[in-house]
Amino acid sequence: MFVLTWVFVLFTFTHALERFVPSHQEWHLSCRADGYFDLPQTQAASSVVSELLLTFTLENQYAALRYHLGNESLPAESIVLQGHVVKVDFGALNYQLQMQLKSKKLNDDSILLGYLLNELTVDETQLINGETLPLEVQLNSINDDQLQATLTFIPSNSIWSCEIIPAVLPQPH
Amino acid sequence: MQIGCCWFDKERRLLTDQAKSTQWHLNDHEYWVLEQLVQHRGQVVPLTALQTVVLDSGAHQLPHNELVGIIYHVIDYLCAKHSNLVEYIPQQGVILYPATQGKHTKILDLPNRLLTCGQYGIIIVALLAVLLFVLSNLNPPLFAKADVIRQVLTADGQVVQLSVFDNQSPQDAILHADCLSTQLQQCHDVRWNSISAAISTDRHYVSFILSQSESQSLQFKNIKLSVNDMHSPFITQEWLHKVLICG
Repeated sequence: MFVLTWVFVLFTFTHALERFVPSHQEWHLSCRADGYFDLPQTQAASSVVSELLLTFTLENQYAALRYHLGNESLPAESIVLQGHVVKVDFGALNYQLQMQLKSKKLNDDSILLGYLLNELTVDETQLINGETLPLEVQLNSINDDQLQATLTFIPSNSIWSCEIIPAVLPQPH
Repeated sequence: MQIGCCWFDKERRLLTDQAKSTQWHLNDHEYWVLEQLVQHRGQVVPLTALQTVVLDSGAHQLPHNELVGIIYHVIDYLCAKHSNLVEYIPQQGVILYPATQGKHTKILDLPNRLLTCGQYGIIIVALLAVLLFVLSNLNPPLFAKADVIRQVLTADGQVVQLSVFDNQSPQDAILHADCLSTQLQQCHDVRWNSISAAISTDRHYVSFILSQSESQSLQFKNIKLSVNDMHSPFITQEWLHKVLICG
């Protein structure tokens, strides 16, 4: 019974700790995809392969998403979103974020914008006007040697397989 | 032996209060009285029996005043923490109770005291409540289980694990899984041994993750595809070659 009391106290304590202490978990994910997107105007050019890059950064409460899309026929496009972590569920490595558009470089009839509106599940005006965007992502299938993880966007069901970049250790001066 | 919070050392005729770290060296008379009480623990020892002191040197009578003095001293010493351990019944006798019946008020007043059944019950209920609360907050991983899983044997004898994730329409998931597995079977050189496909909620995009685990390293590749009509199959041999799944 004495032991049970302590188990109870310990349980409550760790649970409270998990709730209130900010996470010091860091993630640096580098993801690359071949994109086969319909170009809005020229259907003939739909066979063009685009290179879509995503960098996902999570440092303590800071979060950033950097998208870059490039192909042979059109100028490169990019979008940077920055924000912070609202809630973390360690049980499922689920992160709820509040993001905001930081910078953008888009073409007319942007391919990247169309893709992001789907992946982030937001309105075009919401995104472009720099409104706060709620975003939920989940990390799963982290492989044994911690080099690869799957990033899932909720609720759009978009998945990325990403390389985990090890956190850079501070160098002695 | 233990009496309340005191240790009674019969050989050294010593009564040690462990809580206060004090000692009482008992003289012949004091030892006799306490020894009688211990021997008849739980019974009333008559004053007449206590008054007749039997020592090695012989027996003699103890004056009534001295006996009462010793009894009160014993009560003071033993009953500081454990009230009602020794009870003096004037003109009759003295009783040393087998165990004290203390009141259990503090839960953490352990291990000297025991929890009552009620307190034990409260702890168990609270523990279960916390457990349920924590479990309810643990979301199961969303991608723990694919909606459709297929194992495809390709033309060159390789097995490809195919997983399709679709949280909207199982029909579409089955359609594309069947389509992809049929096309993969005709492939002569599949570079990947696991293919995952996730159909977006708005039905306009499909994300593919191709992976190939070799002895040490894991190779993977993402493919993003926009689809005009998700309800019709779009995967053809030509497409598999174009996106480098085949060949």
